[in-house]
Amino acid sequence: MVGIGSAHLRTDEDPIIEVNNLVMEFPVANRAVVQAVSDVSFDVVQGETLGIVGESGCGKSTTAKAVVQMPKPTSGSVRYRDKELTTLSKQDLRRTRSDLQMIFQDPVSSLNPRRGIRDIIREGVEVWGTSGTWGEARITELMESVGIDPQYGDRKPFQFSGGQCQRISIARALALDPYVLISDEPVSALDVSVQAQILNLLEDLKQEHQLTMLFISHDLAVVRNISDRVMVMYLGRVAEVGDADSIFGNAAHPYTQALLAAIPGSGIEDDGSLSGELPSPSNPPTGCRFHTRCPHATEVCTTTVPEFGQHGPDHWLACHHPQSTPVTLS
Amino acid sequence: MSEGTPLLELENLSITFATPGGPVYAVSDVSLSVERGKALGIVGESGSGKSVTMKAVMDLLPSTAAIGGRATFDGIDVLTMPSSRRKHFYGVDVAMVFQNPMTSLNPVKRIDAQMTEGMRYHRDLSKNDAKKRAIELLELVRLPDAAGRLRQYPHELSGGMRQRVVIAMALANDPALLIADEPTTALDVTVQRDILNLLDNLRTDLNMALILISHDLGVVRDRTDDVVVMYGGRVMESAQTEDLFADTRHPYARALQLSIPDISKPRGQRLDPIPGSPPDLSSPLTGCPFAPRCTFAQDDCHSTLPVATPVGDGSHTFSCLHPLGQEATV
Amino acid sequence: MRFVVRSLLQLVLVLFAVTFVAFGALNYLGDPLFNILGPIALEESGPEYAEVRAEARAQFHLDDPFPIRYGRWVGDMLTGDFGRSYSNQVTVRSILADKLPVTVVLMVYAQVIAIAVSVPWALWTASRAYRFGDKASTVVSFTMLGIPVFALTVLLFWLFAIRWQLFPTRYEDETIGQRLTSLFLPAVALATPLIATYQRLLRTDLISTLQEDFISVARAKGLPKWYILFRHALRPSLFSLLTVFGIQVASLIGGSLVVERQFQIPGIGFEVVEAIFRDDFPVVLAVVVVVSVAFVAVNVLVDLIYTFLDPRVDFNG
Ligand SMILES: Nc1ncnc2c1ncn2[C@@H]1O[C@H](COP(=O)(O)OP(=O)(O)OP(=O)(O)O)[C@@H](O)[C@H]1O
Ligand SMILES: Nc1ncnc2c1ncn2[C@@H]1O[C@H](COP(=O)(O)OP(=O)(O)O)[C@@H](O)[C@H]1O
Ligand code: SF4
Ligand code: SF4
Ligand SMILES: [Mg+2]
Ligand SMILES: [Mg+2]
Repeated sequence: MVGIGSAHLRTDEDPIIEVNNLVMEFPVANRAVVQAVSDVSFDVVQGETLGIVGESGCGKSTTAKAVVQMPKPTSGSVRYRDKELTTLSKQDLRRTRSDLQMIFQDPVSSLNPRRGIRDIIREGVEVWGTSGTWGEARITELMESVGIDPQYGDRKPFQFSGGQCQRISIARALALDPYVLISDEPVSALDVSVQAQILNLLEDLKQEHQLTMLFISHDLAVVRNISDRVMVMYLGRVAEVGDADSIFGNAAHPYTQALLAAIPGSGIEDDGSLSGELPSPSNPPTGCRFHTRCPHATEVCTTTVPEFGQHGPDHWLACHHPQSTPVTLS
Repeated sequence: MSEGTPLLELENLSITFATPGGPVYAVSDVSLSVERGKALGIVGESGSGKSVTMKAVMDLLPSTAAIGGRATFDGIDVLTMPSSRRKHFYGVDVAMVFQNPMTSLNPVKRIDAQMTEGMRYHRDLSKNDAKKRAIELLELVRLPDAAGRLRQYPHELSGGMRQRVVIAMALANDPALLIADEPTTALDVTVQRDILNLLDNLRTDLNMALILISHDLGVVRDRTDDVVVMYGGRVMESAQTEDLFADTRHPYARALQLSIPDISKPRGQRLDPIPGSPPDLSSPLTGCPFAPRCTFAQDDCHSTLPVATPVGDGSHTFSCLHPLGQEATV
Repeated sequence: MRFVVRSLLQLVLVLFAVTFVAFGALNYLGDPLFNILGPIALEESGPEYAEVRAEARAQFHLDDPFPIRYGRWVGDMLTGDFGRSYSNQVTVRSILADKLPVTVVLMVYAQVIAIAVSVPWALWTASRAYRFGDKASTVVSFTMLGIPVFALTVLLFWLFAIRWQLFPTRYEDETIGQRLTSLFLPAVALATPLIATYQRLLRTDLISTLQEDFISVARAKGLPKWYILFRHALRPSLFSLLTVFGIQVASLIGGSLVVERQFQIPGIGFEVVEAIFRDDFPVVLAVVVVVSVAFVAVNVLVDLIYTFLDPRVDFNG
């Protein structure tokens, strides 16, 4: 929402994750408060990949971390299956977290530099204390499935390339048999050639393990490749959300259109609308938060927060003036 | 490459670093040239030697680097330039912009001090004249409230604003050549487009040559006259930009294009990653650097070093033993 | 404003802690009465001195309980009254007024020498890091760190004052010139380990600053090497040096005890050693207070300089 409301939540399906009115605020110096995420709602159904896009600082990572309660959100609800995570006791939360695994942007620094990679993959399981038949065979199998030769199990992370480290962190996440995999810019630090390897790997693993995914990236082409649904965020709110084909083929929110136009080689005429700086999240604009940069803004945009409205079968956006001429990617 | 007298020309440039683990052959036999007023793109994955090549031209390499080959600027040998010429070469005839705007400015010096020092040193401008010129330059790069920014410190500006300042600074003495090393990689797509447009406009307005380094083919595609594709410290293919995309001969150049997700294609398109990872440059090559990852490799690729082979009139060259034909292009 | 309040609070806390410990220790270690009266303070010297003893006890309030004496002493101190020396009944204040300036000059002198030598030296070594000059400098600076101050003092004294007679053997202070020459050797003795410490720290920080992108940017602007070193690299590299500069005040004071004795300089270091030997605890306490104030003051100054050096440091943060 560069807007608010929950019209876009799917009532007819049974979501594995449902986030309602999520707010995350951080107090900073001089009594200011960074409104990192303001009233965000979304849902993800079993087996689906939701891509989250937006400019740096728009609250993508904060939203993802709030889902796993690291840290707990300022307000709002996060439901995982039938559990309300925000009110779960520490112990129950710990148990639930193994169902929700995260992988991060910087593959090298997210791995313990002093341990062999086999131990790294095993360690998550030890920490969670998952009981049962956890065999070395399973670790070997996991390493094979992410494309790391099991005979390198004793090597330390620095002996691997960035792409290989990302494979190792994926294996570590999968070791816990999660249902949901949350990836925060998992390929942003990788070379294009290796990026494609990881994207294919994630896609394969998703099928194989029947994962549900939250996939964060600032690269729209990457998100397009991997997502079933897409959520576009701007300054702590959701602008547009829906079926990926519909969002990319038929973007109607001025912000989404501007984002698409900014892609190098997109072939879209540059109307310069996104020039200018992102406003401060500790003092966001009134009304529609995008109005300071929006070429279609009018009076009402500066005063009234737009609510979600339906634009297509699974296509929702929060804007007072949805654009009827979609931008087309060449 | 296109005809005319080149402004900067590198001939068989090689750079080796002495490291505790033995020599690193970072750049081998690189030849390229750029004409006055033209734009040259250099693309390749990280570690392919793009930055090191340009740092050699800018005399920014550490003392552990040994440089071979020739680099001429306007007919003068840059690597053996007499000190009288050197004194007013860097920052006057050529200027450079770096990847990370966050760290490119001295955090403890105000913008005006950093902007004016180059002009004052090279051109003996008075403090006031230098300040006036600084404001002009900041307006040229479309920094909002140019005059007001002069007394600010870098940390008071956003990443995009800082990169504008860095570019303005590079333009201070009207360079004939601007080298931009991944100037937008650290920035948001929306800001990236602004900065790239700015560089484009400046080049035509100031009749300046531009070397635009990027790992993103999309960035280079729309904005350069010629492109050089590098891998493992060597030039793989070099051509006028449209030829490179229309008539790709080198398997690496092609693989790079294919590995990038295409935003206009719907979800689930299988990507074509380049298997394996970039080469280790610590042993000298006996064959093609791309051989271990190349799907077209044959036995001779591992033992014979391919040399630059011309296509047609010779403005398009590739270094491959088994090049792709016309029919194989995308 | 917050900065001022914080600094004052810091000062009060440090003073309280230091004086409380020092006052307690000195009180329970020696017998103050003995120090004041000599042998007649002892009961065994006979009943005829009982009255003298009682008088002295009353005059110096020796019979009051500890907290009261401590409280009274703090109160007096706040009004600038540090009491009288037990040994010769001179006011501590006049002793301080007499001796303190000499020591302050000595310390400032030592710090000035340390900075004046270490900064250019560090710049020189950092600009040629890991080459011969730098490696040789490392050996030299470790040697300087290794020599104990007393040994260095003796060595300097013997070589320069006795053997070559380049400097006076006795402290003279008729003119400023005399003062500076007679304090030169002691200041060098104090400065030597500082020079080495500062040089090592600054060199390391400079080397890492010189790797920063903004240095490449400055070089790409074609600015001369010395300019980049002084105008770009130096300021952002001063933080560790500055921190240690503040902390070194304490060790300088320790060093002055040794040095002032050797060179017979009538400073506070010399005085305090004497005072400790004769259990003259008003003097010792006064010096402890002065040193603590100086320590806190220098470190507040260091904080202030931080904010000047780095615009990102929030003055009130
Ligand atoms: N712990 C924190 N304290 C204060 N502000 C914070 C904190 N964490 C995040 N923020 C702020 O919240 C906003 C959203 O941050 P977030 O990291 O979610 O952005 P993002 O969309 O993931 O951006 P990026 O693409 O750069 O990763 C930003 O303005 C950020 O500065
Ligand atoms: N100072 C150095 N010492 C040793 N190796 C170096 C040094 N600088 C760069 N290299 C190596 O040179 C190669 C090319 O690096 P670079 O030009 O930075 O690549 P890029 O194409 O990403 O700009 C890399 O393998 C890198 O590790
Ligand atoms: S038209 Fe109005 S509501 Fe819609 S995005 Fe622009 S400013 Fe926001
Ligand atoms: S020379 Fe051989 S290995 Fe190298 S790119 Fe050509 S086909 Fe591939
Ligand atoms: Mg993030
Ligand atoms: Mg580079």
